[in-house]
Amino acid sequence: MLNLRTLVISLIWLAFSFCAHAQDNRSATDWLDRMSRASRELDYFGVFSYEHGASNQTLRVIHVVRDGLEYERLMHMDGEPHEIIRKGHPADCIHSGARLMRSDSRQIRRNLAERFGADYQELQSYYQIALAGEERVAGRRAVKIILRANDDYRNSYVLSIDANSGLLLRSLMHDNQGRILERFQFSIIAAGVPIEAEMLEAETANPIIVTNHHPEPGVQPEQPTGQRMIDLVDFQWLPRGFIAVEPIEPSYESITFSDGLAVFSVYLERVSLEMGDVDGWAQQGGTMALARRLAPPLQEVVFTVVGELPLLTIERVSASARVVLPNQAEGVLSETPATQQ
Amino acid sequence: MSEKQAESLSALMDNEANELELHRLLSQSQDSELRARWSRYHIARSAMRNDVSSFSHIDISAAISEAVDSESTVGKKPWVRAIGSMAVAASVTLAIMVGVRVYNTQLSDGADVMAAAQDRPAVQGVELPAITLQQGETFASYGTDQARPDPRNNQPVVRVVRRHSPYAQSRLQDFMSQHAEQATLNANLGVIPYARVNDDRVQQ
Repeated sequence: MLNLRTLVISLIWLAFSFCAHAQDNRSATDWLDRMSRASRELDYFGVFSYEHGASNQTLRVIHVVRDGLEYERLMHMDGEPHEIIRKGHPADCIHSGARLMRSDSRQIRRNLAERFGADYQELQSYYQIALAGEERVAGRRAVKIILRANDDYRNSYVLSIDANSGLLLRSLMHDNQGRILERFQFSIIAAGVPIEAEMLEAETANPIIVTNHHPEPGVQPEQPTGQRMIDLVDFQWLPRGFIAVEPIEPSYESITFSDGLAVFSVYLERVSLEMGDVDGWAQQGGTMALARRLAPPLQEVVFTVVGELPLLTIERVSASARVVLPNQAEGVLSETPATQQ
Repeated sequence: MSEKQAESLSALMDNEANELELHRLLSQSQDSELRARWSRYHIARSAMRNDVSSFSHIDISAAISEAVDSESTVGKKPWVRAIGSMAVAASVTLAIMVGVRVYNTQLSDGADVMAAAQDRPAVQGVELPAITLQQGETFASYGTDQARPDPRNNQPVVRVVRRHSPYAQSRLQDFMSQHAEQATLNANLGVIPYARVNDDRVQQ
């Protein structure tokens, strides 16, 4: 009799613990993986605020996937009406940087480790990633995840992910002293609801339409002919864990790096000396930019680093970059590099 | 006289001693060497402050002590003193516990640190309207004589040196919006990269 009671109690206890476990067995990295898919694959619309310093803007977003292509319309709700419409990026085309957050990225990591040596590891070696309980954001149950930078070269994040859809509901970006650099937060969001096609149509006269994606999955954008100077840049230092990602149709010579969470881009352009001084740095929220002219004989080339990273990192990247010219002659900087003497 | 005492005494002279140090010094003030040094420091300090008096070398502490002893100790029953000292001991313990708690919290739980940080104002300079690109102003220092921020504490020194050229500004706007597209594709933060791009910045 006693044995039976013990058995029943054990079974009930087991069942309960199993239920409790089933609900919470997602690890922080599982949640990140889910988030990385949700933002691209789901149909959703919502209103969010984006705040940095004293600036606070409200925006509306509509995101749909039709025939495997992503469409997104972003509209500023304050000030002059402005819209950004992104069209036609294949939802299953995952760029390298975005892949770094996914749990099935073992193969890409292996490739990266081969390319960058044993130095390349997974996201957890650059950020301390931890679940930090649940909270309520935009009227929804959210899972809070802290990603604390392991070094001073990147910022830290506190993300709140919708427990139902996996969408990112709130994000706080902190510098290494815990100051908030930017705050993004949905106030209303609806996921998995039917969205009418007309909701994607522009309301304003001059929407900014971004279609500069590769036209078909896997097809790289056409590179301009001739020698590109960006290919001659030798970065003698890069923050650990950042990899070069696929270029998009470039209007400037540029290269972009990502560690899966933070992204920075480097731009090169010719600016004649008559244009005056362009050296300087800029900050807006978490975005830092640093521009400098290269040393002679490349003083007409301005090297700009833009990214959501501490200025320390941006400065080090900028200072460590060298342009190695195959031909040190000054003529190498002619207006059309392809026809250089 | 220990080195620690000397340090505490020195700190006290500079008005930098904490309460514990002060208490320690007072409790050890029967030490003649300590008293002699204390007196010397005092004279030196007074001299430096130009208020040295011709009486400063006279030690009146014995006389004061005697006078205090001879006063009646109304209300200072032994048990009151005992409770008083216990209360002090207890509060010191509490202070130590609180200290350890805060320390542990900071080490173990990033959330608390970050939550605490939320209450702090953002980077000082960021509050200034001059650094928002929206208004077409210089939002950072541009130029050779600019005040560079100290990268070590990542505290931007927003000292506007001059307006940077419209050319430089429009380039920066371009770069930031191109960067936003790359950030959208290469970080999994959904719409955030484009939210960072100020509308005026994208508009050509």
